[in-house]
Amino acid sequence: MSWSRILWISGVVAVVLLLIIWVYPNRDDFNTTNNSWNGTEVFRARFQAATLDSLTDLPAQPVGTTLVLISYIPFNAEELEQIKDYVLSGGTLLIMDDYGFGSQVLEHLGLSYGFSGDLLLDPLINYRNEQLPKIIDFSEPQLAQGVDAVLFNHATFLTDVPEDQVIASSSALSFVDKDGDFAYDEEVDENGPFVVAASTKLGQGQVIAIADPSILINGMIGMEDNEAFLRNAIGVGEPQPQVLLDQSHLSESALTMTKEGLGIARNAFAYPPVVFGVVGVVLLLTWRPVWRR
Amino acid sequence: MRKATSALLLVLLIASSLPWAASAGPRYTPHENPETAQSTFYAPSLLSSYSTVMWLISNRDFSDAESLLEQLKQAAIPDEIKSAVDLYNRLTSEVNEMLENIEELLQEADSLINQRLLDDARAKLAQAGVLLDAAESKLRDLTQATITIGDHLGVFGSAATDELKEAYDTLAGMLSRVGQLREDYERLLQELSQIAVEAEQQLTATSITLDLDPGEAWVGENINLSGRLTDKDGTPLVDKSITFYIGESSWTSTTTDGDGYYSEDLTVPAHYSSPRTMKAEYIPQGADKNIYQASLASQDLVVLFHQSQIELTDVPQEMYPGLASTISGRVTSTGGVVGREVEAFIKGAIAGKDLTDVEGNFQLEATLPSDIELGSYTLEIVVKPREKSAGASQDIEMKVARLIPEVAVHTPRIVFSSKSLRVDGSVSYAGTPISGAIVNLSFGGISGTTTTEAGGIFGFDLSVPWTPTIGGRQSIDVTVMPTEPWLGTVQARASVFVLSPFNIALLSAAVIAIGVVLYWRRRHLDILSAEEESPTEAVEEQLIVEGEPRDSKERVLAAYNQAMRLVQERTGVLSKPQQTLREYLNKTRDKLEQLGNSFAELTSLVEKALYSPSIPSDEDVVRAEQIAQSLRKELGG
Repeated sequence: MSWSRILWISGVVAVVLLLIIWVYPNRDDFNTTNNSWNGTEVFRARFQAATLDSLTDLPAQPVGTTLVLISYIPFNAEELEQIKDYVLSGGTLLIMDDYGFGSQVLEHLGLSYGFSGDLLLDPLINYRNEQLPKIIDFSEPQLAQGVDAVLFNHATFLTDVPEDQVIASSSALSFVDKDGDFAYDEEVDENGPFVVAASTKLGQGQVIAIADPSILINGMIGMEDNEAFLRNAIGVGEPQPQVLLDQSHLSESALTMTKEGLGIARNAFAYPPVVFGVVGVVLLLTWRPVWRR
Repeated sequence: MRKATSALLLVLLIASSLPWAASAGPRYTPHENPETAQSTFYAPSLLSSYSTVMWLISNRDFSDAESLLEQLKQAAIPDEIKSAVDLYNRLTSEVNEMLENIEELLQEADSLINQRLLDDARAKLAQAGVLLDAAESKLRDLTQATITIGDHLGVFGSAATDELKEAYDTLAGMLSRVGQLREDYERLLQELSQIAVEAEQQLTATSITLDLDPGEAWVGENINLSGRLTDKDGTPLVDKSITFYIGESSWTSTTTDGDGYYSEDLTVPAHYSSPRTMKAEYIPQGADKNIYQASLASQDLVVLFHQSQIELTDVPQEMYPGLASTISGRVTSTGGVVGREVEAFIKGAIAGKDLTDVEGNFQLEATLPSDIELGSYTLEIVVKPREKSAGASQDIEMKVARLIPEVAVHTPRIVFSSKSLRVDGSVSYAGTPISGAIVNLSFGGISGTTTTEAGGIFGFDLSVPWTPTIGGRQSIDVTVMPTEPWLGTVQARASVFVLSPFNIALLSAAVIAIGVVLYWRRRHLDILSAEEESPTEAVEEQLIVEGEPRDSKERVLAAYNQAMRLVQERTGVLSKPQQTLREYLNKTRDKLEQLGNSFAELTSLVEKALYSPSIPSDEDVVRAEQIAQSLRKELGG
C-alpha cells in the first residue's frame, strides 16, 4: 500500500474521530452542556442562565443580574477586581464553593468570612449517608420562603460569619471531619451547627455564599427544596434577574478541551481569511498534477 | 499493506481510548450521584445524640434540649427502627417538658413563699408534686425505651462494636442523670413545702376585702375600689400598703386608714375586654414579713364598650415600593362609625390612613417605603379605638414586588458593518410612558447609556462595528432601569443581521477566481488529454501506414484507419493508447447500430492482418476496402 493511500485512510479516520468527539456527550462537573447527574443543564434551562466563558464578559451595568460563581480554578487579580466592580455596581454574586477558591473572592471583597474547606458530615440529618447532609435550620425568612430543607452533597461550611448575615446552618448533630475517618471523634472533630450559607450587602449589590455548589447539579437540583432555595438566593436583589453562570473557573477534561478546539475551528471557518487560506491550499493540491507536468 | 493496517489500528486504538482518557482526568469536585449513593446508618451517632439531649436536660437547658430533639425528629432513620425512635423522641420530649414545668412551678412557689402568699405557694407545690409523679413514670418508660432502642440497634448482641456499647452506656448514664435531676426537684419540693408549713405556723394570717362600686362600668367612667385589711382575729391593720392590679398589671397602691379601710377611684382604662379582674393585695414589707402572711382579694369588673368590626372589600395581593395602593373597607360598630381613624401598618410603620364616612366606609392609600426589601409581608389594617368604641384590626398577607415595565426596541433587520445604526425604543408600563429611566445598550462590544424622554422613548446612534465574518445575527442588549422605586429593572434583546460588504466582495472575488481557475484548468487538462489521446497516436505504430499501402497488410490497415477515423468522428469515442482494437470495438459497436457489425468484421480483418502469421488474402483486402468504403458512405466521410 502506497504512502498516499495510508495518508488518505489516516485522514478519514481522523475525521471520524473528530466526529465522535463532537457528538460524545460532555460529562464534566457543572458543565451546562452536561445532561448527566453532575452537569448543570437542568439549572441552565430552568433559570434561563447565560454561560460566561470569561469574567471580562460581565455586564457593565449589573443591576438586575445574578452571577453564579463556582470556583475550582484560582482567580487572578484582574478577575477579582472585575467581580468586585460587578458587586459594588449593583450585581448579585452567588458564590458557591466547597473545596475551591471561593475564599479568595470573599477576602478580596473584604468580607470577614470564608469557606472552611473541611468536610461537613451529618450522620443523622441526611439523605442516605453522612456526606449528603440535610440543612433544616434557616435564619433568613426571605431566603427560606417555601424552603423546609436543602440537601447538600459533600459540602463544607463557612467560618467567622457575623450572626446577622447567617442564612442557614447545619444541624447540631453535624460535625467537621478533621481526621478524615467519617466518624465523630470528640477530641479531634468539631461538632455543629455550622453556618453553610450567608448573605452580605456590599456597595449597591449583594453577596450570597453557599458552602456547596453541588446543589446546582442535575442530580441535586430536584432534591428537597434545593431549587426553591436557589431561586430565592438568585432573586434576592431583583425579581427575575438575568442569571450568569460562570464556566471559566471549572476544571475541564481533555474531551471538553478537544470539543472547544473543534468549536474554535468551526467558528474559524466563518472568517473569510481562513476560508481563503483553506481554499488556497486545496487549489495548490489540486493543481499539483498540472505543475508536475 | 501491513504498514497501513498497523497505522489504522493505532489510530483506532487512540480513538477508542480518547473518551475514557478524557473522563478519567484529574478533578477535585467532590460530590456523588444521590441516586446511587450508598445508604448508611451509624447507630452510635444516634445514641450519642440522645446522650447530648439527656445531658442538656440534666443541666436544665430545656430549650436547647427541645431544639435538638426537633432536629432529631428529621433524622434519617432506617424503617425497621423508625417507630421505636419516634416513640423515644416523644417520651424524651415529654420528660423534658415535665421537668421544665416542675422547675418553673418550684421557682414560682419559692417566690410566693417569699411574698408570704402561702396559699398560692401551696397550690403551686401541689401541681409540682403531681408533675413529679408523672415524670417518674415517664422516666421509667424512657428507661425501658432506651433498652428497646439498644436492642434494635444490636447493642446487646455479640456483634456489637465497642463504640456502640460505649455510646449506649453513655446514654444510660445520661438518663440516670436526668433521673437524678427529678430526684433533686423532689427534694426541693419537700423543702419548700416544709418552709411553707413553718411560715404558716409562725406568721399571722391576714384577710383583705375588695368592693367595686359599681361592678359594671363603661370605658372611661370612674369606679371606686374599697375594702378592709384585718388579721385573722378581725383586728384592723393600720397604715399598711395595698397594691391594686388590673388583670396581672400593677396599677397603683394606697395605704389603709386607722380602721384598716382603704379606698381608691379608678377611671376604667381603654382596654376593650370584659370582664376584667381587679385585685387588691397586701404583701408584708420590712419587719411585717416576720409577723403577717400576705392576703389577696379579687373582683371581676364588667367593662362596657362598643364592639367594632372591620371588613375589607378591596385589598391588594401585591404592593410596590413607593407606589400607593388603595385599600377599601367598612367599619361597623354600635358606637357610631363616622370619622373613625383607619390606619395601615407594615412592619410597625404607618403606610397610610383615612377617616370613615357616615356609613363607616373608608378608602386609604397605603404607600410602602421606597427602600423596602422585596418579599412577603403582613399588612395590618387597624381601626383605632375611640372613647367607648373598641378598635379592630385585620391582617393582609401580601407580597412586595416591583412592576416590570414593557420595553420595545426597534432596529433595522439588516445593517452593514462600519455603517451607522439607529436603535429606537420605548419604555412604558400598562400603556403609560416611563420617562427618566436609565437605558444601557450593549452591541458587539460597544455600549452606551441614555435616559428615556417624555413619552418614554429613547434612541441610540451607533456605528456598527467591523465584523470579521461575511454576515451574521448579532444581539442588541438593552437594560432599562427606571428611577421609580416600584418599577424593576428589565432587559430586552433585539437582533440585527450584520453584513460585511468588504468580506462579501472578498468572497465573491475568491469564488470568481476559483471559477476562472477551475475553468482554465479544465481547458488545460482537456488540451493535454487531447494531445495524449489523439486518434493517430491511439493506433499504435502497428496501425501506421506511411504513404501508399505497399502490400495486402498495409491495405487492410489503411482501410481500418480510414474507417476508424470516421467512427471516432461519428461516435465521439476516441481510441486510447492502452486500448486494444477489440476494446475499442466494444466501446463503439452499440453506438454504430447496424454499422457495428461491419466495423466488427473490419476489426477482425485488421486483427488477422496484424496478429496472424499469414498475410491477408486478396479476398480479405477487398472485403476490408469494401467495408471501409461502405462505412465512409454511411457515415458521410
